[in-house]
Amino acid sequence: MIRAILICMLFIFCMKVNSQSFDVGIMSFLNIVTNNKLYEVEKDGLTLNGGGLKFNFQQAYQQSTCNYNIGLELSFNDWGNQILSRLGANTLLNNQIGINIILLNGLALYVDNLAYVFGAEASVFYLIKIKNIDRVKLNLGLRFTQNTKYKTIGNFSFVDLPISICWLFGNRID
Amino acid sequence: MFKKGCFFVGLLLCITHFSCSYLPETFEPVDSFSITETQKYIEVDNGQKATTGIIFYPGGLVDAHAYLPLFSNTLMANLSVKSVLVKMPLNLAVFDANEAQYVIETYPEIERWFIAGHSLGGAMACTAVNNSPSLFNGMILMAAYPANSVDLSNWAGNVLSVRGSNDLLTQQKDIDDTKKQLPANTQFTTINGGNHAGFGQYGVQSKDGENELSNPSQIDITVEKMINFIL
Repeated sequence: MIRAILICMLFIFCMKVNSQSFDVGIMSFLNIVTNNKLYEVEKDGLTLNGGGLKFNFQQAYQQSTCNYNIGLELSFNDWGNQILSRLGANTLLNNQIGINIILLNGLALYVDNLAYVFGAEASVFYLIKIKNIDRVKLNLGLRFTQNTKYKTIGNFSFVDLPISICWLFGNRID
Repeated sequence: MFKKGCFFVGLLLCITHFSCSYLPETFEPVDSFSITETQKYIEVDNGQKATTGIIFYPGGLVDAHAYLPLFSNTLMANLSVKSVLVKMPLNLAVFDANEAQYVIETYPEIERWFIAGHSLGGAMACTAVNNSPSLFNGMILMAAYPANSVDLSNWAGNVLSVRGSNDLLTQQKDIDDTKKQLPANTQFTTINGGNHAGFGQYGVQSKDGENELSNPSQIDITVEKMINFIL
């Protein structure tokens, strides 16, 4: 019940943004660094550390302007499933390429035992036009996430390379 | 825009509702074991030269860490056994039933491999054996039984099937109905007073029966049965 209320609150918060663009995407995380206080960690190059779905609302993609965006992601990684709010800002460097910085806050989903998860993500994105409208967004970045409860269980924080592809709804305003 | 947003967030809420997993209880590592974690599995090594390996698939929506007390139990400290607990995508073994093959390739020095699994993990262990029967010498099922599509009746390996008498999630009827899909020499055993969640350390599972034993006691009994079966 608490979980449902929290998720509804996140959604209402998202809708408060004067959104002119909405995008849905799938993402995957390639792990670079893993932190574990209890056990030895063995790494063998870049390994898949999960993935998920994300939903983003934002004002518009405008060049040379800071555009705010807010969204939700449902993802999984080594410690299980999580729902995170994504509060960020981006700017277009030219007609197609931009940078995006996002703060992540949310909950790892455990039965009767939610855990606070926080993090940050910085990424470069590339917009692809279909019929002269920005429709596809490719993202590549760097992301840090930490689960507060996992310090006494196992891998509790990660630095990942997030890769995502999104479908954009709504028109870009130049 | 608002309708599309509502649709996607509604979808997200539905997925979220069914994706909560069980948080493992805090585990105090035992001195005689060294535990190494990778992105794909947790290795439990007791320092002995291992000739036998156990690959373990966790139950549905249960983190592999919840089973560390089972495989770093002091009863296993002096055995030539290495245990590998596989981490499953979304904590669901259905998404990676054949991960055991990767583990076996990682440890070429191990001569005999057993695959074990709890609940959904046990069902997927059966699927892994069904797909590659020659890789394994035996299988241990904890509160688990094979899926309908699996037939191991002609498999040459040995099977141990353990169930708690108070388990309300894996019923005795389920075990009985699938006996014909397992080899004829399968050993079936019941832990009196044990329940479904008692094979791991992740608290109370929804719709499960009461555990009349303590959680560590059920784990100790399971380890004893496992050791007798493997050796």
